[in-house]
Amino acid sequence: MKPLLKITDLHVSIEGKKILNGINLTINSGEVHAIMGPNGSGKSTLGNVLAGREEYTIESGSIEFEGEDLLSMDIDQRALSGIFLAFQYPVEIPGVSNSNFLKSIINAKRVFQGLPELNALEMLKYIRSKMIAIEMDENLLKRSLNDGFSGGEKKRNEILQMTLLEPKMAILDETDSGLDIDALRIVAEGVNQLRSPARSFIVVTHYQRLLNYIIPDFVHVLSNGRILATGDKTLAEKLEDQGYDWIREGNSVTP
Amino acid sequence: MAEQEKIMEQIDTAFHDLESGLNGKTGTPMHAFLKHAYSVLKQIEFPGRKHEDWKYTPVQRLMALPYKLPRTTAQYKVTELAGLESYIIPVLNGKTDVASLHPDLKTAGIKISMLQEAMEDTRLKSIFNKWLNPERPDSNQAFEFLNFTFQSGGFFLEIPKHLILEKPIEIHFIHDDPDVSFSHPLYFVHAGSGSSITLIERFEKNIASTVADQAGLINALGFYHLDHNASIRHIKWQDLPAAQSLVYKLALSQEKDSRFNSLGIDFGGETIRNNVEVELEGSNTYTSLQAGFLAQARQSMDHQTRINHKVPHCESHELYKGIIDGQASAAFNGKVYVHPDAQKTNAYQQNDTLVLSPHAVMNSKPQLEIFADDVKCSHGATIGQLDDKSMFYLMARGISAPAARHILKAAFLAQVLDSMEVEPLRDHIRSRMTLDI
Repeated sequence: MKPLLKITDLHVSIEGKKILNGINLTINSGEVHAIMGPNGSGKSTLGNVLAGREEYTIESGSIEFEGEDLLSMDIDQRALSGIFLAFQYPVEIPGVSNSNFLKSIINAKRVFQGLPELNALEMLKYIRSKMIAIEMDENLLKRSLNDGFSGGEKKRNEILQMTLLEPKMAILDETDSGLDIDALRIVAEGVNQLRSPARSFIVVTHYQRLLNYIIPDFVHVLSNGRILATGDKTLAEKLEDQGYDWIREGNSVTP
Repeated sequence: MAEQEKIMEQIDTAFHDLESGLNGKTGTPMHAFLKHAYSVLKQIEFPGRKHEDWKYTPVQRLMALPYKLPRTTAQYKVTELAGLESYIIPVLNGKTDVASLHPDLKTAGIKISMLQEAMEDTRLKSIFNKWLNPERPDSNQAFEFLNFTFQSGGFFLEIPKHLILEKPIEIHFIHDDPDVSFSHPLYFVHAGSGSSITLIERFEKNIASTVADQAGLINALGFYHLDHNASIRHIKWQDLPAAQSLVYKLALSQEKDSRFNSLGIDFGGETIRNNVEVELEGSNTYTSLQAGFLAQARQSMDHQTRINHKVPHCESHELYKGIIDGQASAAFNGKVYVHPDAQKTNAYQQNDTLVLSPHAVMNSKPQLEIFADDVKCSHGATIGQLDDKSMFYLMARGISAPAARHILKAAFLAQVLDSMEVEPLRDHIRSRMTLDI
């Protein structure tokens, strides 16, 4: 089977500073990969590079998505092709209503897929059905996009967008940070409902806590821009108990 | 000053054309007024690049065109706005024909008279005379006296005491002529005590025009007076043809407890100069000036505001938001004077601009002069580009780069446009400026 995503010897820098130093990662359809690591290890960079953030310079290496060269694709084309990044810090855009934004992204996707756009009524029905599943307050539709949303509301709005767009490759960038335990459970349930053989996840997190709810198939430990260890969910538990120091000492683990 | 002489020569020719067209009407108070205005105009010069208040408006270039007086146009049409019912006052090539206005205006209690007649009415004249005879006129008033000099179809609009109009009044300003010409709308709005109206000024293209677009200048001058507790919601929508320019002045005086809410949107035209001058004569007034503009190609849009807080307990708000693209330029100069007696003044001013092209230019100058010690005043100015993080966020959801830019531009102006209560006009403006999301 052809992998969904194949990252080969990826080196990335920002403003001359090297952040990723040779990442190799292969993700097949239906797999959930957790990426853990201390602050500054390059976890968020990886997600942002996959989504196409332009501040980063690709020094060398390649990323193939469904066999295509992802790095040559524009940001919007990546999204339309099935890449979704749930932002660590969702951007607030006053003046753009959340409901209009959601309509725009749903219809952009449908047009890309050659499907007819949804009318206002179908749209509302579709959005509402997904909001109920993640216990999201409908009033958030009327507000400006993420503007003045609480941390939990912003993260739910990210999960809502993911649910609506049904991506093939979803990257959750520290979606658990700043969430209380109830919000965390709801967000994790939203993700679990989306798990399917046709969809893969990269779950970037600093804490093992989220992985109690989203059980990963693989856990990778990132440090200084390299994957130092790969294991199953027990690796995450070990990190929680022992911290990251033992990995830095060179005790590399492979599944 | 060779340029100045050339300008005055053209004006002289146009003035003699006007006089020769007066036929039997020479020697009237109106004719005396024109002659007086012209004699003042000859003594003052049009402001040049060195004039602090005019350096961002290309006055010499604007006045270098060989303007004639326009012919009379009979047919006009502006975009019909579904769902908008209003009382309409057309100003065609600077002139209003009061006799042919729809009888609904009279039925609703709106009093309107031609300026010629108003000039012979001592009661009305006492109201507006001070505006027509400013003390020590200087370059700042050049366009005003140009307007007075060519005055021939202005009107006086009176909203009687306690009249509350549900439907808005619309003034349609149309300039349409086969030759290069200028027109000079002049109007007075006197809102009686306790009255409340919505007044919409639309500067638009004549879509029933039979001639090709031609360069032209509209030099419009509106004087507003709000009596005790009067309220005006004022909207200005400027969507002129690309070859036309506008010099616009709104002079406002407010008596106690009155409220003036203004929302101006500039989109069309070539060189646009907006002057808003506010005199707060009575306490406990509220004044809000909001404006949004989109300057593209080689458009120039210069906004000058002056709010004179002369008495205590008045509140003024200004919010000017503009987007400048292409080789366009724009300016905002917001003057707020708080006189020593104007204690407990609240005055807030904000000017935010997006500059989207390396060839576009914005000049922003807040100018607050405060001589009272117990006041709340603030001002702020920002100039920036579209936010990279917002662009990335939208595109990471599958929105194309042009669509994302479009959404962010619309969002930027939404803060101003969303507050427009006349929905059919707001929707029309959004679609004209392609600010729909």
